[in-house]
Amino acid sequence: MSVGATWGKILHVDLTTSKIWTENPPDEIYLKLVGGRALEAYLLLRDLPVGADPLGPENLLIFAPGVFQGTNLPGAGRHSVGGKSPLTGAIGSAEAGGWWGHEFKRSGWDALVVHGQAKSPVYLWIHNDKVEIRPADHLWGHDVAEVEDAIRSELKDEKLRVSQCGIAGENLVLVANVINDYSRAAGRNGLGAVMGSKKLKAVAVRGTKNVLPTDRKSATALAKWLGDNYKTLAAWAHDKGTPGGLVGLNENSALPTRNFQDPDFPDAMSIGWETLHTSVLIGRDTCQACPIECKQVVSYDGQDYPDSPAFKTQVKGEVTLNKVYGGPEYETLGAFGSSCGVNDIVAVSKANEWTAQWGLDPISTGMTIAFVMECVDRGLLTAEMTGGYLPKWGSSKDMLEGVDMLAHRRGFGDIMALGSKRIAAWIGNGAEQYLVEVKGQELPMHEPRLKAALGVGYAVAPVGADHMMNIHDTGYSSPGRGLDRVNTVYKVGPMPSTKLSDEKMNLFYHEVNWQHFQDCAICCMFYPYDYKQLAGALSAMTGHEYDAQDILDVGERAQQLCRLFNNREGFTEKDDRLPKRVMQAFKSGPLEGVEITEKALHDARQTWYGLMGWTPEGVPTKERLDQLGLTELLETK
Amino acid sequence: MSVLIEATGSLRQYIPENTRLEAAPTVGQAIAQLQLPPDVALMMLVNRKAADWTTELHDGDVLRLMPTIGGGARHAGRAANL
Ligand code: SF4
Repeated sequence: MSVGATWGKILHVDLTTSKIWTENPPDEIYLKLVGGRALEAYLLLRDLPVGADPLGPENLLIFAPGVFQGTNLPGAGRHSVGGKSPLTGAIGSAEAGGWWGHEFKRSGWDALVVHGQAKSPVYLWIHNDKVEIRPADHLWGHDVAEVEDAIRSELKDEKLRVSQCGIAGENLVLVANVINDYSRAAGRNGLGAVMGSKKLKAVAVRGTKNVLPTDRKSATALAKWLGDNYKTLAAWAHDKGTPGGLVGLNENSALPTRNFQDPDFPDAMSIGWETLHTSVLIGRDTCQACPIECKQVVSYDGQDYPDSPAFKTQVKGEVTLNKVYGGPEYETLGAFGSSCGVNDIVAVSKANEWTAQWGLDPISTGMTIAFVMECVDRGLLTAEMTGGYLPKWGSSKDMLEGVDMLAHRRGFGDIMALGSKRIAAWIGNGAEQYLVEVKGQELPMHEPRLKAALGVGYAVAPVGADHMMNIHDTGYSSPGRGLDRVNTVYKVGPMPSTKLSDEKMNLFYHEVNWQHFQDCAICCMFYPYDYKQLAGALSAMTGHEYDAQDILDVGERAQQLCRLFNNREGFTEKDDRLPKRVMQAFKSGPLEGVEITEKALHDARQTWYGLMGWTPEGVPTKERLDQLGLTELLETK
Repeated sequence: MSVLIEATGSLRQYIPENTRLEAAPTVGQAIAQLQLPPDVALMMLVNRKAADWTTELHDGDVLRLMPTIGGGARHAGRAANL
């Protein structure tokens, strides 16, 4: 094999026939796609029949690390999971932190592709070259931690790592995540349901092979740079983590409140870092080889917090928190908190715990409950329709009950499990005007009226509304590392976060390619690396030269392949839209009068299509696919 | 002219309370005078309305600065550490 830090081997397992085989992809696959999302999209285009049922045996569930995994590069404790999304019908591709990806890569495989559907529950045990399909009837129906512990003791290996579908995935909940390492999730897109549909309870991995960079000296130098600088450059992540910005965003009308209706959440402080860190927070957790340790860990046993003035809870004495499932991130605090009008850090943390314990996507689950709350508020949902479940804004108990019902598909939870867009269709009566989703996926907790290009990013992301394969305009409104990074390939100065322009879309084009690249080589996006550094890392790993533009091209390839997949599944320019609610201006607050017009969105989308080499209809052109070397690759079978 | 600067969160260590700037025609020029470390990413409000680098400042305005961080965003790393 002449591409360093890869094995030249993809593992295929068919659960219908129990057949297991190895594919040896040509070097070109690694050099052009690098792994993760681009590899997933390529395999789906190649091996999945057009129009396949996402929950049928034809769908593929792909676990794909990238070139960086297994190498101890700080930030590479991650992997990607892909397949056709049952929530959106488009491509599904999601990344998770933790240790699973590192361990899997060290077992000697570059990716795992699961085909078919088992007759009864099974799990996979991958121990270096040994691959077994084992019965999992005894694990089916159990919580995530129980399953992980049971597999570890059954296989008598303390060091193995487990990725699994929770109870939600078993129940084919369309907002189910794939969970690994107890608390980490390949989130969004409902891929947990794909895993459940295959009756694949878990994939346990243990690898003892060393993944070696071709140029160890350069790779080590980058790791050393990170070691010397993370305490200043990534201190925000350790000190406050993602919850650190919540109160500031609320001051800017950018904390989604009551299903994105209100410009202010008066109790923001009660669900912000300020309260989290003076109440339930007990420590930090990390991912493989990451010194930053940004993950918040919480615990609660009914105590009071006299030194936490904004602490409030409605569930004292009824709820405890289990630290094994980590703690809430900003997204979770927004989705179960302000989006539902809930100011209760304990209840929000409990909802977060359940999402890990049962395998749910916190954003989509919280936003689905927020949507139901709004429909109840507006009289569109009645007790007869919901079997008596009438959740009220701000009620911790109603919010928690919704999570429980949805995960177990109990009562009205059977409908809620399908996500907000399908609930709206079920209700009819104009309910869809209150939806806040793109391609059927609920919006994350970032406000397009403050961050205009992020709104365009929601519209065009291949997986539906997503904040990671996106830019956050506020990071480029003053000089800083964001602009410095882009300026190495595209010169641009500070730009207003609330406005769209050709220049902004050029910045968007570069940075979104960068984000996608990081989901191919797979690196944590909280890391302060720049284009040149990761181009250097990829060169050092593979032994092939990449410059900044080369790695941006990798990210673009991922997007081109995703677009080809979505187009063949019937998606068009019309699906690259934004919900009306987040385009109309608030009537008060800092964003009063700030709107995104249809014309501004259309023009920005067209500018970006042009930069991507697409037709005005959003179809990739042969010229661009040729330029990126994709035509050739797609013809290789 | 006098513009009051309000800093929030970790920016407070760089901008003392009641900081006033006498000659700051735009938000960008005001921020430049504050001599923050070079890689800050900020959100800015002028009189509690969304503002940007080029927003003009007038006598009596209040410029409020917040460090940019948030879930899952691609942030300027040091911003939140300021
Ligand atoms: S910064 Fe956080 S998410 Fe990223 S690798 Fe480290 S612990 Fe994991």
